Amino acid sequence: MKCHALKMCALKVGISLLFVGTMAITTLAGQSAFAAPCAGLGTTFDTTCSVHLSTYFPAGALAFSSDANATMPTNGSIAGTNLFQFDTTVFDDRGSASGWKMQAASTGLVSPATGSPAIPLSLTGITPGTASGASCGNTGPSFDGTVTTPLTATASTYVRLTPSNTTAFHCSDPFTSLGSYIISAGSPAGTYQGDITLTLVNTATGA
Amino acid sequence: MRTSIPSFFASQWRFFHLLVGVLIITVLVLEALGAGVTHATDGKAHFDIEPIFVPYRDMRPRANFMYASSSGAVIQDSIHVKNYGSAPGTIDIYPVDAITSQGSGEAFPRRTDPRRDVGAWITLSRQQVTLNPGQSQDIPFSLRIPDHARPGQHLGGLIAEAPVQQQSSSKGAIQAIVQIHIRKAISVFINLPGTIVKKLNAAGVSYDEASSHQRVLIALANTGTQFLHPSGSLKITNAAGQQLQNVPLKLGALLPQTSIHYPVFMQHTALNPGTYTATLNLAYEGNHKLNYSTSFVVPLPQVPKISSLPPAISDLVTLNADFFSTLTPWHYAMGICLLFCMLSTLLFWIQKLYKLNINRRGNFKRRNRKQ
Repeated sequence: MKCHALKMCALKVGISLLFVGTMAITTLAGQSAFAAPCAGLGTTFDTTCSVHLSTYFPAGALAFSSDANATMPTNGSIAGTNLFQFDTTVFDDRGSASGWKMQAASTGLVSPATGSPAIPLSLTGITPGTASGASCGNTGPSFDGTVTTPLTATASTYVRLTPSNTTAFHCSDPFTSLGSYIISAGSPAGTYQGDITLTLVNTATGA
Repeated sequence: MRTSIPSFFASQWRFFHLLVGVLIITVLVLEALGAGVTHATDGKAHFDIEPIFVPYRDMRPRANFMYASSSGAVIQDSIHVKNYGSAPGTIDIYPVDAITSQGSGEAFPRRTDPRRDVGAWITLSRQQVTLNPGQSQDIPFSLRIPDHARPGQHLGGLIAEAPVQQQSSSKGAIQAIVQIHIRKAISVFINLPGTIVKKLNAAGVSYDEASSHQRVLIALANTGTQFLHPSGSLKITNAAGQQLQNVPLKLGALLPQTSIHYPVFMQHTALNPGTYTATLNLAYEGNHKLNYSTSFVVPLPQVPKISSLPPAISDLVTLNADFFSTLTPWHYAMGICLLFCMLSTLLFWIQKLYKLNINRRGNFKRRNRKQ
């Protein structure tokens, strides 16, 4: 009897592990064994797929930090084109080889004389740093070449990290954003102040 | 020996308990193995927000909030906030409507911008959180969909924003200070039942005089109820009918009831001042098409000629295109263990069947001998 019970127990554990194994493998794959896969991003509410399962990302953080203030010209701004830059690091612990994008918005530098946005701010490129972290193999983010005109109050995507087929992301991705602004000749002296709002968005939305 | 009905059910109940227990332990182990590998150690607070994960309800972690609901419904959910940094910190959390950014795809407006859609439907129980390193907190919120909400797809966002830090000093007669605000956005999708409309309109093509690179702006409006993802081309011909530009287009999502001025950069050859004809051919969401033609003027002074532009980066991404590339060594180790267990189960059954077969043959032989 004991031997029979032991066998039955082993049998049940085996079936359990078989079930769990199937679930775990399909979970890691980002697809369910019980739901048809979605046709792709943007088909968020497609009736042929499960919306909840189609946007799975493994647990983990996607966070970032940035300089509190941009580094401005050392000896003050001059008439003409002035350059500035700031450093940002994205921490991607999702381990999903999934991408992210950074959006930027700004209403420009505010003139001390008028108090209104007078000097637009532009982001002209980025310099990727060296990505680091366990199992990180990505080549770093890239600049979205469509953002060469002054930033507006409506956010535009200016940096992307596109998924790679050959990497798993557990990365710190540092990069330096490069920007410029133009001071018109004869502009009044004083302090000009502006904000750049960076928004990190994962690309799971399909939007 | 026969099994009585109560003991049969008791056995099945124990088996179910065993199954659920093993399942939960495995999922927890997998989650623990997949969690945080890259930690920030720069003496700052680094916050992340994500939808709360309820194992028995959600089956798996969610990247966004997604609801298929109906007008008048009230949805209760929570957002999980965690400080992954190495210093205490405070962040503000607030809802916003999503809009279509100029380059297509979703964008999240400022906190002060008016909210009329999803952003106005969400009420957070708290709007500011202070956390120590490694500490996390769940913030409940309710989403109340109005009775007369438009059918179709809606998109909003929950934003975590770090407060502005100390200003830096600047020198010179003209001092400039640029403060950097950082935000993390989580999308909130809502799909409401009703008539589905997929409609894209073009309202004009204009030359962008403000751009540092020569480009035109296409006025596009999604007047329907669904997300649209147009692709196609923009052709520009001069007065003589000569084609000067044929730019392929692949847009990200255009959100319902939003409009944008989509920029298209001129490639290789700049346009001289004059009048041109723009022909727009876009296909979207299956068989839907938009064919539009109009004229526009490139005025004086001419924008400096540009030689070429860097290739555009695709807006759309494919998730998990190569499954094995996404796995870490821990995943492989777990996979091998599971494979081993499954093979053990298989061997158990083979052995059992083999023994049964042997016994059956022995019984058959014994019966033959007796006969």
